Amino acid sequence: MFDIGVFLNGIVEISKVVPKTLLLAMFILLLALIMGAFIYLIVHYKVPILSQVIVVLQSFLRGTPNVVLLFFMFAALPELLTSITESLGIPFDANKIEPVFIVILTFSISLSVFQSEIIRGAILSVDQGQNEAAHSLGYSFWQTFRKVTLPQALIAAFPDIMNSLLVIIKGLSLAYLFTVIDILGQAKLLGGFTQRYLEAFAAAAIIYWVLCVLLTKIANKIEFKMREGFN
Amino acid sequence: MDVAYMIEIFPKLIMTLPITLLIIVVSAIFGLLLSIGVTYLRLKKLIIIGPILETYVSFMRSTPILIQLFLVFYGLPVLMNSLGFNAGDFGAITSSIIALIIFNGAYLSEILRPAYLSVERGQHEAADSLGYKPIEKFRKVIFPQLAPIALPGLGNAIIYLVHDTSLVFTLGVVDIMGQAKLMLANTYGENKIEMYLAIAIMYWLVCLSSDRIIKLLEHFTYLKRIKRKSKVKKTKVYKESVSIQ
Amino acid sequence: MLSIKDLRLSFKDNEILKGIDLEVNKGDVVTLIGPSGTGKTTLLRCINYLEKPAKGNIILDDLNIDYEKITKKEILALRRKTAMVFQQYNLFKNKTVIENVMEPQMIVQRKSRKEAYETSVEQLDKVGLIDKLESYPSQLSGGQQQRVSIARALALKPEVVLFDEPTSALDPELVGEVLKVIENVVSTGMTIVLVTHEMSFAQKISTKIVFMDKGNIVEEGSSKSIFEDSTNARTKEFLNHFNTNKLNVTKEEVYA
Repeated sequence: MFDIGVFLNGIVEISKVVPKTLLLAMFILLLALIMGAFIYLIVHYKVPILSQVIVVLQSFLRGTPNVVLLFFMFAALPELLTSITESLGIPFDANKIEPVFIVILTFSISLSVFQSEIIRGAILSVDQGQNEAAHSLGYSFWQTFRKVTLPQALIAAFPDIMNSLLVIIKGLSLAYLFTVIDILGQAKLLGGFTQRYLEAFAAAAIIYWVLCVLLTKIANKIEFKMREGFN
Repeated sequence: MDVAYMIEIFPKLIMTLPITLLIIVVSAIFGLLLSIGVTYLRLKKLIIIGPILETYVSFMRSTPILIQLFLVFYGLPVLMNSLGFNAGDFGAITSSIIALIIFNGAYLSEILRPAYLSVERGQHEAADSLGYKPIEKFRKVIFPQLAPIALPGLGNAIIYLVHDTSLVFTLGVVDIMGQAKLMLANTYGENKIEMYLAIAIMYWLVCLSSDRIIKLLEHFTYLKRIKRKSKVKKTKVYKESVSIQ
Repeated sequence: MLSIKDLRLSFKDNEILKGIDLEVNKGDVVTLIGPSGTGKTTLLRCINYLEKPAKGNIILDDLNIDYEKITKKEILALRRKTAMVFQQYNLFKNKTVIENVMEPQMIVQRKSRKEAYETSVEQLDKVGLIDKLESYPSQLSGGQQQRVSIARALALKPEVVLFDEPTSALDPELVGEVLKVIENVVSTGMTIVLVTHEMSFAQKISTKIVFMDKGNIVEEGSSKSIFEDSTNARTKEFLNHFNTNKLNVTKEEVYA
């Protein structure tokens, strides 16, 4: 029926992939945040043409499932890079692109729109009075931003950003379709090896669950520390 | 990029839309019903069922939908057999729908519950003190006030549901994605870009339609009614002052 | 008409109501006064079971209810004979003014739409809001909302109207208009139980004043006997804060 041995062994084997998955997720998050920051600035300062493009892109990314996006990027990106390098005369073998890079890029783009919304909400939530106080004391624009706005915005955004991390970890479960091995990928391998798919997936599910609960607890602790002194 | 090819394959892809729509609609309706029940029980804070439900919600939110699809696909027959029912394999479509219903039962509950709790206690007390029965109170006071709070979240949940259905091909369902794989196999993998772009656009259209429907529902909520009323008032005043001159 | 015996209520380890007896006759205006947190509002809310007493007995009109054994039917019956006006008004946000006053009549009293409409218009006219029928609560001031709330309560023609600090949440300029409306309600002969901090108002309209402190009734009596002739030290100490000028508390009495 249900082979406990394979299940328990599965937990051990699959856990080995967790650090790599975590690292991947954090990198994607960072990239998405940077892109999101740029998008926020473009939208906030109403840069002509680009803002409108962003709006359309936003709608498109919201309407397109990640897996479709991944398939598209895996098909389009090598061709795009090849045509660019060809016109520049640089030798380039599209087959040499590591799938992991395309995965990282796709997820970052897909998430960047959400990150820009989070950034926008966080900056808005910083009480205007704080900025005004800083200005009246003589802080320059950048000083105000670095010392007053940014720290408070980060605290406000923290829960949403941590949530995004969890979303990415779960989203990476699609990566195995493109030969990037994350938690689910490892489970599939184990399942194929032992022919006991159910136990492998159950093990992976437990690992995901524990990972999410742990990360949430850590995030809450960090947030609590950050808010010390505010209440 | 071969746009002509894209236009050519559109009809073939649209033929698989019914399966996707079936999965979406059935999962949405029964998922919502389940989540209403789950929310109701969670709000009552029962001693034994309470923690079980919280565990259920936590698990559903922590694991990727792909795993849940696999667990149901591989695990449900095993579960049924161990309970004594001699079940064969559940089909890919049935497993997908069951998995999505179970998932949304939890996910939607996390939208409905805060929406319910956002209605002020005073509204409950006013209705109670006037002698409303609980059902009457819910129908006339509580539900109309939680609806505009819940709708945006529910709208998002439908979008995620549409996204989730793009994964059922991994179980073997021949929907858009499944069909795409077949068609690409026939053309030896050429025109991948056109294919997936076409698919992306199709999903985009489905999501846009869903957003429209939600907007329409929001139109009927009391918050939008108040907005419309205050707009009418403004024009009335304006017209009067103009005619005086 | 309303009689409460030995009402007891505790919250966690605190005894909030320590055995309250209260008599209210038809047409009475009974005002509960006292420091914050002494259980005045809690007592009021026990009458329509928004708070759940541990012990006690209530007789309201033809109802005789033991709080320890109260049934769902009895709770509903209590609530159908009373109507409450809240500190936070608690008008139904999703309904217009006229709907707020009409709906309880149709739902709870099963009146027809026409009957409910006529009664509602009548009541809203009495509180001076006939021109705001189609407005939503969010479009009204606090004072206006409270007046609608009073109309909503009166439209049900209850046996007793319960006022829970009706003006405490209002801006000072708006308090007067609501007090005026309450005065009008008094003049119609309605039985009223009121909790308020508006001392001069209480003095003016009440037939009976009940002074509570720390979960007990310290003193009760007519307006005059409490505000002017009280000999109770605690009562006088409390009233002194309101500078009624009709009280002389000596230093010795305060420190007694």
